[in-house]
Amino acid sequence: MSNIVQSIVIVGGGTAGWITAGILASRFPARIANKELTITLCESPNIPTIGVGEGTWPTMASTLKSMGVSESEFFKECHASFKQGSQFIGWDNNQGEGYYYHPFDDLQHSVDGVFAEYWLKESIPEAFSKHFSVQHEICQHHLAPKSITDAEYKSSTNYGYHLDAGLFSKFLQKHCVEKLGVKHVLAEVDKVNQSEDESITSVALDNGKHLEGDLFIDCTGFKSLLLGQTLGVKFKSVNDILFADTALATQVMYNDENSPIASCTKSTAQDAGWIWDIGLPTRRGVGYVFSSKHTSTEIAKADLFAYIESTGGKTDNLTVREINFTSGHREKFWHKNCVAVGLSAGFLEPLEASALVLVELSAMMIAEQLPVTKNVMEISAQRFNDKFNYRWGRAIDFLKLHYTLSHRTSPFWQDNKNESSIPARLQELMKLWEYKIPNGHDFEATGELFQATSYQFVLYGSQFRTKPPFALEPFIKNYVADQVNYNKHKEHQLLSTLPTNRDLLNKIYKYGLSKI
Amino acid sequence: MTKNTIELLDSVKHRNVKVDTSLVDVPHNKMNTATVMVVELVTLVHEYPIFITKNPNTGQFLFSALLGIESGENLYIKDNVWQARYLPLDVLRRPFQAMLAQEDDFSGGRIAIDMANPQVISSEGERLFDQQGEPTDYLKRIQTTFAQLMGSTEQNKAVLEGLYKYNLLESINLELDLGGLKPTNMNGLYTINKDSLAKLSGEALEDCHQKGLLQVCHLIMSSGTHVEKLIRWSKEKHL
Repeated sequence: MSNIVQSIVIVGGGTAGWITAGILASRFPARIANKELTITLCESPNIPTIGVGEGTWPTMASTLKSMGVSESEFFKECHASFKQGSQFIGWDNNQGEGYYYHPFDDLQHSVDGVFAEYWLKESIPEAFSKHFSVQHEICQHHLAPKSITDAEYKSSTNYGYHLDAGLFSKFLQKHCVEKLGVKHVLAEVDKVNQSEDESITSVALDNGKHLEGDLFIDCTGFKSLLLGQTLGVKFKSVNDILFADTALATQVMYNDENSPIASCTKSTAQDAGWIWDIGLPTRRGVGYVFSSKHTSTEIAKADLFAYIESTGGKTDNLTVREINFTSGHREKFWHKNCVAVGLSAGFLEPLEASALVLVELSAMMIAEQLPVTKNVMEISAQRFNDKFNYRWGRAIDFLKLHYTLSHRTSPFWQDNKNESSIPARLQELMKLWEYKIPNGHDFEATGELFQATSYQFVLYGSQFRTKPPFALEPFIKNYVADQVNYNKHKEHQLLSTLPTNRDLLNKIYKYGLSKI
Repeated sequence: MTKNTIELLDSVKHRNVKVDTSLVDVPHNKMNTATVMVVELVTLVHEYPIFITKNPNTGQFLFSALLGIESGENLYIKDNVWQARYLPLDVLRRPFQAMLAQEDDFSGGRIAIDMANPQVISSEGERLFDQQGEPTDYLKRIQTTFAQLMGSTEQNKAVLEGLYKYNLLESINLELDLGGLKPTNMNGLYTINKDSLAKLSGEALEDCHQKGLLQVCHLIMSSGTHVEKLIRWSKEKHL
């Protein structure tokens, strides 16, 4: 077997490149030690990384754990904080009143949906998320998901992170190079060399060297140097579904060192999009994602500043960065011996923080499907493309859902409800959910990006109400009522014992979390 | 907030204060763990099950003698008598406590007394100061206790860090059959990881031996048998 895959070249650093390097390298430590596999990451010393994705999913905790990262170090060095979900503020109406949570905790029985059925049939006045998830109140009080006595990666409730993407890249780089045997090359790529069948054979670097490889991973960001520019795989825009195409991003300082750090991403609806608000220990990352067809940059900036002031922040001397993007993804992600991960594969507006989780899932699937020999590369590619076409499609559906449920009347929101802008599959599901609660059977069994629970949180957090025609079985009613009591008891206990995000982070800096 | 009843010891202010050491069944003894220092293990393992727990405020490891099963339950106290020959220094020191300049800073500190403690009276009991304001033998013993506690904190910390570093600690969930419908679970406890201990070799083994970690491991493992005693006492109590 002369054509064994033994050399992987990742082009491009940034979070996508280093997460991919870390996931792959930690999956094959023995092959790397025996020199049967090399993983090389080549990045330009000059290109600043975009640093999108300051919010992760709970998947990141297991990703970091599997790489052997110390969570205490990660918190210290990446200015990370705990994220337990998202809060959608003012999405329903023009007055901007009301909010709902999409917490990270999975609901019991999300597969059969009996919790939602109970809530609907009994017309429970309490908000859906508050009734069933302890994280609603935990987030309202800026509490952490764990205590200082909980070991690294252990917690009372499910959590992901908010982090500084620039610091995170550097942190992973150090870990990958020092602990996982990833080779790091700092150089510009001058040229991509291909064989007769178009496969990439090597990249020529500006230091005169050539970097050869069996599998190339394109982490070059929006420019998609390998998959897009070299192999000509086309970009499929979805800006007819997701209208946002511009972001104004800035950083807001806390008023004092004891200001609370929010435990969730706050997402506040605006006339032509929404504003993200991500609390790190050192600062807040705030930005307005909007459709340039529906508002101007000047007005958007004024709206952003008004938001910052209304949330107690100062707007003098703020640096605002404008980022332009098109939501969409490549027609395929793996072509020949090249697979794109991160922005080079695609980008959706940051609602629900899908960027980093797609990077993690891509890298995991590359590790799982890593072809043994080059001549079976196409099989892996086909599987990968099928899976990720499905995943990007479902992510687009789920993001779109948030907009279609609103009763806001500005043109941006009205256009979002236009049927021609709603994917056919989502329209079908909405029809189905008129009388049936979204449950596990509406989705693929494995690897679904957004599960039935997530749909329930968004649908019933909004004004949408499924109308199940049949009465609730008495035993289900009793059972769910018991579970709700149990949850309320747990909520009470957690609210009185969990420290605030800020308190716990300060303790982590001082004492660290133990590994057991 | 409860009224602060902790006062720094003062030979004038506390000249006539007495401590009734015969009172055992007092609120501050109603606890199901007592912090112990590594220097005490040699004597305490004969009578108490010793585990490792975490300080709830800092997450740092501590040696703890298990005194009861439920929170606030001290099975060692029966009819106002402590059912053991040796008591942890952490129990003996009461109603006194150390006032540290900072949490975790044991380099210096002063002794304080909790005036709200029912052991603190002015009629019967051990005097703290004599008529001239000099510490009595009783107070001197208390001062020695604190000197022992404070003096061994560095060693204690080093031993716990060593155990952690060599993966010699593991979390356990004690499942106790107390005769109820369901077994009672105790969590937040750590003990010696026997597999890691058995696998120690070469330099690591030598280092553990030098630092006295091996002895500590064996002492703690030997104390596990006293859990049976707690179960028996708990069942007797509920009869």
